[in-house]
Amino acid sequence: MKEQKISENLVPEIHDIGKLINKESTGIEHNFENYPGIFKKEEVPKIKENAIWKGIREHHCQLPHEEKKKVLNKYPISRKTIILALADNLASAVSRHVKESSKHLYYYNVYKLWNPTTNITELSYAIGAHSMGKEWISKIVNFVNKKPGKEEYFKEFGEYLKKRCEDATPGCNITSLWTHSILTGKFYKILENIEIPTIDFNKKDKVCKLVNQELPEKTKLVVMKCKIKFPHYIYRTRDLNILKIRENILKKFQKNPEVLFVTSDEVIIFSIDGKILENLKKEIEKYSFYIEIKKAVFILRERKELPKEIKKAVDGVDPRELSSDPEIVKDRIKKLYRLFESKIKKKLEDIPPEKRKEIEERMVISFRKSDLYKEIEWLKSSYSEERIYPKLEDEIFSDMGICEICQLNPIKPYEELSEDERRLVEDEESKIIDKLCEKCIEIRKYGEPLRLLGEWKEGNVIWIKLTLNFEKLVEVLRQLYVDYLKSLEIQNPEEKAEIRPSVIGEFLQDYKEFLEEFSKEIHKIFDSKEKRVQDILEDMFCIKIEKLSEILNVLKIYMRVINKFFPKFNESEESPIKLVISYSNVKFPFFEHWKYLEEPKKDIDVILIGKYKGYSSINLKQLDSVIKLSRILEDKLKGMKIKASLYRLIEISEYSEELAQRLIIGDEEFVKHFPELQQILARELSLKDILTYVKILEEEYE
Amino acid sequence: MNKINSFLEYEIRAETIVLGERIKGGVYRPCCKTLRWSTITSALRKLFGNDNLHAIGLIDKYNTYYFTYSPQDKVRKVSRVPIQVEVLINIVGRIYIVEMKDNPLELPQEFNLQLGALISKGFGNSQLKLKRKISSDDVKIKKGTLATRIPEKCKDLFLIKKIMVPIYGYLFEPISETSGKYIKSLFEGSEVVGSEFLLKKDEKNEY
Repeated sequence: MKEQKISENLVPEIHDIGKLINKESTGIEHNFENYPGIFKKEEVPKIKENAIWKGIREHHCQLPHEEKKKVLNKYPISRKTIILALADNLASAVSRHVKESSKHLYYYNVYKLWNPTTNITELSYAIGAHSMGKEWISKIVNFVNKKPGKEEYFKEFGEYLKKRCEDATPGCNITSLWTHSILTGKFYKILENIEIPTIDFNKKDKVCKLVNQELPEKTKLVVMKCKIKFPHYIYRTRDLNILKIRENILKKFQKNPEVLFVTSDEVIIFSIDGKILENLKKEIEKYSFYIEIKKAVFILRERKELPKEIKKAVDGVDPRELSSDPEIVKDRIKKLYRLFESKIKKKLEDIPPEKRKEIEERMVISFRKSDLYKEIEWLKSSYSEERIYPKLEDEIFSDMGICEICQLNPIKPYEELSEDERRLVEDEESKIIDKLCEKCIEIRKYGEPLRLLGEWKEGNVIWIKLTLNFEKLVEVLRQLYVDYLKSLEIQNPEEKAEIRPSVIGEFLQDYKEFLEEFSKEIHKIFDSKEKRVQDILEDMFCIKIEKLSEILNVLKIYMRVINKFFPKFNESEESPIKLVISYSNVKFPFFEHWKYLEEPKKDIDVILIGKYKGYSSINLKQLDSVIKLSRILEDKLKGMKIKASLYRLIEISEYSEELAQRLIIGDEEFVKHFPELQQILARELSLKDILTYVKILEEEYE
Repeated sequence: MNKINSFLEYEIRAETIVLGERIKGGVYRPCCKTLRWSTITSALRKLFGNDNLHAIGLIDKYNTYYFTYSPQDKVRKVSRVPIQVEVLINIVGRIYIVEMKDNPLELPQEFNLQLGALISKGFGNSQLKLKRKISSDDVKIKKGTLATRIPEKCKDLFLIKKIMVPIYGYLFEPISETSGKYIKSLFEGSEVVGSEFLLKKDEKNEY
């Protein structure tokens, strides 16, 4: 058989539309190869051939094997459908098969690892549509017959796609068909131009080998995590435009098929050649930003069976296996080194000390010839880190000096500034003129001014920033996935629980909704009487507060919203979502806040600058204790002052935390007033954390 | 052939120093937390009259303090808006001076140096004491995070073998009494392979 040429547009996103039909009741396979299943031909519409139907029918390439005897007959017989099959595999939630349970149950709902619900075994209940009815099937077939685009598809079927999991095998139902469809579309575009060898399309086994083995082993994918950073020091409110510009550059890039995910400062790119970076570079040069890149080259599929000990050292996976986080390679290198170290240590234990050096040297020599060493070397060569800067001159001759904000470009002389520009660099009150370069003046001109912030001349504010730690996210989701597989009694869950891009994509949708709800709640509470919330970014706010204790309102909102969207993060040692609240007088320079906002120490950091100097850094699971503590302190502080006693204890705790705790337990007076404090200390809240919250509450009663 | 003979390591102690950053925060003036090449080299060149001298420094211990003053407009004889300056206090650090094979240095064992800004207000008086002379052959080369600011063109002088992940900025280099230029430099936080003494302490360096 010759290759079937497809001249029309194949819409890869629509390939799994058949998964919205109940196969058990209708008999219709999701690739429609046996359409109309149990129905008579005249009961349902006829398929009108087009490229989309070809994609639906040919996106699988299955051969019978031990675990799965019944397979789909149709397979790719064109270049386009071969690429679609490859893209579909890549976008799948799991690549290593999780065995079906003996009960032959299917779970059609999306089991969100961070916010799980009960599994549903009936498709119609899961998606909220009569998935076995003639009307539903007609709707789907008529829709595809119309040759729709992807936008129409998501508009028409989006709500069902979001509820239906991509793979209903128990343990695989962790991502939605919505996310899977979007990712398949993106991977299709990325792989569109890869080289496909000439093949006899009559031979299904050959095509399957090409799609499932040869091409994935040959195709390399560059995964890049790019963080856009800036050398600028933000000190006027208009300089905060830097953050807005960065967010907008990334949003603009999100439309690119090679861009898989975007946060407010980071972008994850999957690419064959990495050329996309050139475009990003051009964008950031305009504002003197730079990009911090962590890059890893992955192959699409496991290349060979590696020694078990190597796989075991990296949690059972092939060390070269694809991940959405390139930094995982760094982690794998460390783990493999540790494996070697532990081997040496074990061996040397039984060797007399005088002979150890010689044996150790011999072991190092043999290590250099081992599979383990080759694997480490391969991984090291596949991973790199770099910073891409805009073009910088070696020397700058400028009588005026260098820009006070970016420190990278010559100052634009005051005489050359327009009236509007002069207003942007001159402080009305102090008459101090900021000496800025052309690019930093452009930044001040950008977008709408932050009106409220500009109006606030006195009083106190809190800066709030939420951050998503991508590296931690992959780690936490993996552990949650292991726990889920364990609950289903699936064998070797550590080896099977891999976090593919689809899970991250699914998570980011919820994260977006989480940010929207947090923002809504913040506005509802703080804007009730007058406007006090200045939106800076989707994940950043500045609020004018009347009293310090209002910080607790933010924490209460945060606890409520994070528990609604990500209740499972409360059970992890560390949450991937971080919250920083930094308090000061409105006139305090922003860049001092930025140091804290940009790099959270723990899950929830609260910083008090100025009169009530304080710092608290706690984990998410301790937030509950903080809220309880605030309730207890609120009651007690009305009647007495405890700050002096706490200060004394904190001084002692700097030498010995244990002694300080013992003093609390032994201090009858203290125990009498604060019996609950012992419980809170038991939850590992440090005395410093407690004092910060005492200050937050005490202001009210001073 | 390596023309660098050795590094003279001096301990520096000072009660107060103001090392102004180029960046400003309106009326707030932050302080640089390291002894960059430009500050220490120009102070030493001025003191010893040697224009070929190169040095860098690192601050190991310090506290901060804030000093408020109103600079005077000398023409109108009125005070301007008060400025709050960040001051480093109780500073202990290290200074490394490059000694070339063809130009041995004859520097005193101990000497005083005026460093940084607001010297007329009594800031910046520092005491330097020779601790040791490190032969360039004995300098350990490691991978780590740079703890000071060095012009890129001087990287060989301070045995920086490789720039892994840079953080760039510019340092001022005087050309004459009244003029100067800005030279591209590596800032603290850059990841490099180079002399151990330039790197942040308490880091596990693997190379």
